[in-house]
This record gives sequence, C-alpha cells and structure tokens, in this order.
Amino acid sequence: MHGIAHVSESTDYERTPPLTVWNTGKDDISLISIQKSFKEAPRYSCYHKKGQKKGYKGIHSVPYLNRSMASSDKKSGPTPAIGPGSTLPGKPTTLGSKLIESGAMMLQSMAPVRQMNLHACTFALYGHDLSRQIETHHFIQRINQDFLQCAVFDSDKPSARLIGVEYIVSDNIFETLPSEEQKLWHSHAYEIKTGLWTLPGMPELLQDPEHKSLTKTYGKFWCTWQVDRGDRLPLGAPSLMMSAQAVDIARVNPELVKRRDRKYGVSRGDAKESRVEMAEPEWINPNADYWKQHGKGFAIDVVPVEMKSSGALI
Amino acid sequence: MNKMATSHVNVPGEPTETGTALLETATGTIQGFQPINNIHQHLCAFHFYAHDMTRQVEAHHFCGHLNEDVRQCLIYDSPNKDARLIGIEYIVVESLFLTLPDDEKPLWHSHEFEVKGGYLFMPGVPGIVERQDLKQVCKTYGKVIHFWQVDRGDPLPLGIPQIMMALTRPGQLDENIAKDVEKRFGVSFEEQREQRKDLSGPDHGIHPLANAAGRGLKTELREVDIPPATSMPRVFV
Repeated sequence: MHGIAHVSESTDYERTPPLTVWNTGKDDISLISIQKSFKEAPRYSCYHKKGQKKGYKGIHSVPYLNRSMASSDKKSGPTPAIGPGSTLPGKPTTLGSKLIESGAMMLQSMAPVRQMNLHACTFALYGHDLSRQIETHHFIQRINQDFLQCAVFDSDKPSARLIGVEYIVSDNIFETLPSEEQKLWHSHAYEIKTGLWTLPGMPELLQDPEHKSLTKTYGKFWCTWQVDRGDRLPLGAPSLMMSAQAVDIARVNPELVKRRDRKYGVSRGDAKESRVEMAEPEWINPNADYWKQHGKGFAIDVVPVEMKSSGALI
Repeated sequence: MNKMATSHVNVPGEPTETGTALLETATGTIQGFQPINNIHQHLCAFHFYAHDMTRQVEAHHFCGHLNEDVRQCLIYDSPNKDARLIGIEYIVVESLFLTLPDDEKPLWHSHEFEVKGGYLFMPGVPGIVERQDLKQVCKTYGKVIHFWQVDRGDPLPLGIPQIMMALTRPGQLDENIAKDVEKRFGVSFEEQREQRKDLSGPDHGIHPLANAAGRGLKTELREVDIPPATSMPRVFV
C-alpha cells in the first residue's frame, strides 16, 4: 500500500524505498542523497549552491512508506547510524548547553525523576531472540506495594543511554490482567533467586526484604534502543524483552554475569545462599514468559495507516 | 473525545508497606543515580498518537544531554511527585537525523512548529533563558514512544507501545487542552509565538519523510519463532 499523489520528476517507482548514500562532508552536509540501483526512484537532495534556496527538491508526492518498516526484529541496511561499538555520534556537550541546564535545575522542580530511589542491575533477553542478552540498569520508583515503574539504562554512569522502560506488578495485579495482556509480561522469580538481579552498593542482607517482595512479581519491559547490535542512535520499533529462566535457551551467558559481578563485588555464594531460603512463588502464571510454553516470541511492526484527524494534516 | 490529560486515575494496588518504604529510603541514600542525575531540564509539550490526531496528551519531558547533539527524555503525565512514567523521547540534531535510514525517518517528528508556535515550553524558566535552548530545539527532530495510554483512562500500562507525533500545523491542538495547560502553568502560547519569531527550523527545511511523511503510523504485535538454542548465547561485546 503506498500513496502517490503526484510525482513531478520521475514516473512510477519500485516498491522498495531508494537506497541512499550519505555524504556528510567535513563540517556541513553538502550533497545529501544519491539514488543508486533504482533508476526511477523519487529523489530528494539538498544543495549548498550559492544563492540557491536550501531545501528538499524533487518530491512533490507523498513519499512511499514501506509496510512494516522499522520492525523491532529487523535490522536496517547500512547507514552511519549503525556502527561497531555503537559509539554515540555527535559533538560533546557545549558549555552553553551546560549553563542552560544549570539554570533550569535551579528554577525547575524535577519532582517525578527525584522519586526513583532504587537501582537494580540485572539482565534482559530480547523477546524475539533470547540469545541476545544485555546487562541492564533499572532506576526504580515504587508507586505502591503492587506497582513499580523503572527507567532502564545500559549502564550506571552519567553517559548511560536510556534504553527503555519496565513496569513491575505484583502477582495480585497480574492475575487481574486479560490473558492477551499477560503474554507480554515475564516472571522475576528465577532471576532474583539466582542472584542475576542485584542492588549495587547494598549489602546482600539489606537487599533481602526488597527481593522477597519482588520474587513474586511480573515485569513488562520495552527496549527502545538496541545498543548491543551496533545502533548508534535509537532505531526501529520498540522491542519486547524477556527475563532469564531455568531453561537452556534462556540462561544468561556466564561471562556476562561474571563481568558484572566483578564490577560490583557481587559474590555468587552470598547471593544464592540468602535467596535460596526465600519462598518460591507457589505458582507462576503460564501466560507470562509466553515463549516457554509456546516457542514464540513477539516483535513490533510499524505500519502506515490513514491518520484519523479532525482538521489540518501535516 | 479527549479527556484532560490530568485525569486522576489511581494506579491499583495496596499502599506501600512501611518496611519497604524504609528500605527504599536507605537505597535512595546509599546507591548511585548518575544516569538520573544527568537529567537537568523539564519541558512541557503535546503529543498525539501517530494513527489518531484526535487523541492528544500533555507530555512532561525530563531531559538530559548525552552530548550536544543527542538528548534523551523520560516522559511523565504530570510534573508532580505522583506522575506516571508514560514514555520516552529521543531528540537529535538535523545532521544526525539525516543519517537515519529512510525506514526510520518517518518515526521521527520535527520540532519547528511547536517551538515557534509557543506550545513547547520550560515551566518555571524565564523566556529569555528558555529561548536560548529553544533556538537549538527548534532545529531538532524527536522520536516519541508512549507505553501507557493514560488519555483513555488505562489504570495500568496496557497494550503495545505507541509511536507519537508532535504538532506541525495550526488547528491541530485541541482548544480545551491548550487553555487548561496555559492556565495551570501561567503561560500564553500566543505571547510566546510573538517572542519566538526569530527562531528558525532545520537548516535544510523539514525533511519530507519526517512526521510519518504526512501519513499515520500504527504499531502491531507479531508472533515470531524463537531461534533454536545454540550451545552458548551470543554476546555482542
């Protein structure tokens, strides 16, 4: 499905989007896009010719949008926005920006973000590919005894990238959810009892009460930035994440765990002992950890549709 | 029909137990929160669902710079202590936006209209300081994803993530929502518009693929086969 209203330069074009090659030049962008492979694809380009108005030329029609573009389980073609090590592109923060931020800090109340008072480090698995595993840092706010909301980062340093959001609910709340909803959630018992989930900086004994209440919870975690596959910027649709489980394909790579434990001085022995005593949840809802019973994960697609509107469109 | 964004639906659950609260006070003091401490700015703006412009949400962004060219924001439904975390926004400068694959660009929106229109503002910050930053923001592109559809009264974050868009033309923003925000924050969008006349958008104009290329966008859930177990999980180090 594509919407072509009127094309001024070329005529029809093929169903796949044009391959673009970026030439970003030294300081500024000169020729932006070159069409390769598709002779009749629509073209837009921007020139820095003297005296000529900057802007996008050559498109007078509604550009073609791919059905299910940017799916969470598909990787894009080559682009400067993907690279080894997922190094963040862009310039260092300027003094000017820092000054503005200091000004804002003095005048504004950051009340919502000040509510996060718990930092947990754990591991998450991609819901469409459990072999892809990442170390995550959850910054958690408890709303009430049954519900927590977490901002998830890829590290606990100031340079940490915000990679998603997780919501955590008690088993009581979970049981009230419709089964279609429950499929999107994962259980926490295994990762807590095995010490994958830890509260950095807190002695193990002090962590106990928190873990007791969390063992019976379920989580729903959307990842918006797949840093582990080289995305230098947040690309694609959000990805549903799952938790480690006592099943081969969902055990976390021991190297990942060792590296994390070394970093935070977590001793495997300590963690497991005190937690082994914790009550197992009597029952974990079989709708959670959907892949376990069904061998299927989930992906999110973004599809073009007609916009419902009351007035002016873009 | 739009509900006011400040619909006070309570999140279900028992009040926090004393023991838990005490422990979390301790963790709050002992642990490190550097990524959160990097968040230095509060911006208020409006988002609508990428498939339904009539559903509009007041969005409170709490933002930090990853560097000069990339920002990341936590989005809440209010600026108060009991605010619900409803989404995420990423903001990038034009040169980085242009490096995005063509498949990706439609998910991003331009900020020019909502900044110049006065609809995006920094509560509590005087205009003259605010405009220093808005000068930059005006030229950027953003990607917003919401996880909690508070505008339809969901007591919990149900369903799948929603791609959101920002205002791009006059007449899009619901009058009632606008007036309500103006009143509560003591701002006037019209006044701001006057003050921001000299701001300009992206140097190369708004890219034709941004703002979903003028179409609607919807997210869909799809089942996938889980790849069979390998002997050792792959790690991209």
